[in-house]
Amino acid sequence: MTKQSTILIVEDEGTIAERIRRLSIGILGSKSYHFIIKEQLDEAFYYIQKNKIDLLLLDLNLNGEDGFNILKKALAYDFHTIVISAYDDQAIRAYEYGVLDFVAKPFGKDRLQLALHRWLNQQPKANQAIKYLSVTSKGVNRMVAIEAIIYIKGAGAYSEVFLQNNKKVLHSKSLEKLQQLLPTTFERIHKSYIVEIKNIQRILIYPGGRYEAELIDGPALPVSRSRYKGLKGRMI
Amino acid sequence: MKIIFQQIGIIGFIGSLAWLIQWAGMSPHMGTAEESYTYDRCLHFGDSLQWAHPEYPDHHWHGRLYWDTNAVFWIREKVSLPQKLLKEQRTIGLAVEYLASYELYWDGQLIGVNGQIGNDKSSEVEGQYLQFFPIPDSLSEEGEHVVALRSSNFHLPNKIRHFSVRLGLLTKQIKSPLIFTAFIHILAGIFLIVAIYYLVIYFVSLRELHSLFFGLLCIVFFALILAEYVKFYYWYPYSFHYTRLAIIEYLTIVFAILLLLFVLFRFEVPSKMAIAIPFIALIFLTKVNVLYPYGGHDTRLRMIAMIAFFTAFTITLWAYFDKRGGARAILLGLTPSLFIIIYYDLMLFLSFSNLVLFNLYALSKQQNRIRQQKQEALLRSLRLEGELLKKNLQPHYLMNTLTSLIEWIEKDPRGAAQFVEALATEFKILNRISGRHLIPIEQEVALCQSHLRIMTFRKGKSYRLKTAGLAEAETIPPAIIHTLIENGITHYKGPFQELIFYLSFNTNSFYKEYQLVAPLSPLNKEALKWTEGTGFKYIKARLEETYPGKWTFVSKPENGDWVSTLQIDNRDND
Repeated sequence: MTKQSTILIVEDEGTIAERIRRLSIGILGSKSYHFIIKEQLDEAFYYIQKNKIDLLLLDLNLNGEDGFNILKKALAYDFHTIVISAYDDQAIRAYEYGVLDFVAKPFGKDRLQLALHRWLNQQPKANQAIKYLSVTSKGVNRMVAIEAIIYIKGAGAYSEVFLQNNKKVLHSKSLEKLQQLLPTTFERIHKSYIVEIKNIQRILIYPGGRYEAELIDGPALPVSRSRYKGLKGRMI
Repeated sequence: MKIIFQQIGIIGFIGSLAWLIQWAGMSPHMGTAEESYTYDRCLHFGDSLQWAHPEYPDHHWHGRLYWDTNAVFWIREKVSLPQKLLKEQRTIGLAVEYLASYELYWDGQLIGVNGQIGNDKSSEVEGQYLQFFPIPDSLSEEGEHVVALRSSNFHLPNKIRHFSVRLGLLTKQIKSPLIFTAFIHILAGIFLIVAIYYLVIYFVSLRELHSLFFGLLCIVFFALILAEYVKFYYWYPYSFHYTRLAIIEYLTIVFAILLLLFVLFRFEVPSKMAIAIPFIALIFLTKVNVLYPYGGHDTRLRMIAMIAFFTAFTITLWAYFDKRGGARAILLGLTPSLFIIIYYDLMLFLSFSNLVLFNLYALSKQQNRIRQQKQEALLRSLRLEGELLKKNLQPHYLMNTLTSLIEWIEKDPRGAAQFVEALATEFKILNRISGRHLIPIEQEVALCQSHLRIMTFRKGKSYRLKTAGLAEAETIPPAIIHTLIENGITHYKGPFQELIFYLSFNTNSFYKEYQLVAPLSPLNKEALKWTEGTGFKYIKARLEETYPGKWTFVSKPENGDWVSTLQIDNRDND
């Protein structure tokens, strides 16, 4: 029995919640996926704290600061969040905070499929600029500006995010997941490292085919051989 | 303070105008304001043709004229004919204002007759008050002459007042006052038109008493002008003179009272009686010569006018400091009137004209204000209508509805058709009611029912509305209950299978009341935040639009439910 992934649907309109579930089953199949529907936000967050989920489909009334505060909290977790909302003029801001996709209501199967495949196939999010990473540490949620990130190091299920001024934060998302969200100026130079290109001073080549990226303001990071060529191309 | 400069400006302007008019010789008197060339006036009772003779010695005659009479009498006066009158080589004449019938002798020659003297009322033929006599060229020599008038006044006995003989160029004497009268009647016409304007405004639009009083004031002033100047073109029999003076006096009194009433009502002065009664008493005392026993007709008029204008000015000054609307304009309107005492007739006209102009200005500003208020009320109405329509275009409502509609279409087309029908009903009703101020209660209920049906389709739970006591003929402003129900639905936190709303109505002689009971779940901790959302603002605005100042609206938790109560004052229904 393959492990099932859990997808949490947060939506207070019964018919729409059913729709999301029905369409998602049509897109992903029901065997490997387990769908939970919660109508209330506090119920949803309670469930998240007690259970592991793999994807959050969140209907948010983004017409006020309350909605965005909840979104920020959700984005700090290890799972991706896809927002399904009636307020499509808030999409850009949602992307700035790091949602994987924003599906405007009303939606058909095709649009939902696009979003679910982004998640399924680890594709990058739609080409919208992200400005912040939402981080929760010790129960307090804050937004870290992307501009302040020098490089990120993967640490198993977590990521260590290294910022300017020798600061460092831990993010719940894996390196792969973060890579989906970050802009293309962030390059995956190694299985365990993502760096923003502009922070690289130069690439050092050592005998034996070992490569390192020397940062303007930070340590030298290893560059894997397979990724060296791509990186060199981008540096020119 | 700016207003003091404005007052000085007005006084300066009107004063200069008055002085200019005087200087230009335009005055309501015959001849010019020069010397009248007459002197040594005297009177004697009895009758003798000898007394016409210029040489007749009259030093034993009475110097004073103010006797009571009951017989024929004679008046003699010396006239000095100057060279400059003869220079023009035109007919010289005498203008006589005299309350009697008489024969006029010039240097002993009978040159004219006014009426016919008699020994009693039946034998005397009444003459005119104003009469003109040309002096034959042969008798017009430079120097001293004697005028003798053989008189009787049985049509106005017991009084010899108002005797005046003036020498001048005959045609000029007749023409000059008539020219002035013609111009002043232009002014009279203006007052008449303004009066009609204010009366029309009162009866047709504004319905404010002060407009009525001001209209009447202008009519009185118009009548005053006519009464004053009629003597120059209608040479009435002399007995009418006192009647005319009495008319003028009563018109002036009415003028004074109307002016006071105007000011009292214009500024809504409290305790009007407390001011009006002493004022009328004062006027009355003036009229019966108690206040100033030595006054003649003119003095009395002047005092009455001064009392009126001073009182009006004082009240307006109070209104100005009390920041009442229009006080500044009327204060400036009344300022020149304080100087009436200087040139009574002229200043009276100029002052009143000034008041009329400023009042017209204040009136147009008031109409502007009213128009603006009406426009703002209309704008508010339109905005409410727009809000109501927009409510159903809000992304949250519309997009969610469409999304669940798609789901219904894909899963259960027949059910979807019903869903669409419910939607259509709601849109139709909304369209019909959005522009109205009041709709029948059944229409509101129909709107709510269709909304609840839509929510039932959307949420997959049951929503119902139960009503009690609704009267068919009752009305309510649109979408109030709808808004409350929407609030109730969106704010209900917690699981449920069915939500039931209760709408009830009851009425008594003081108020009529609608009450909506919405279910509250125990999880509704934020219930108290509901009070000032856009929904409640809309409800209050609609209530104020239709029942200004006559409504109360309370919405709060009660016994585990959310109860909203709308009360509308029922008394004094038009």
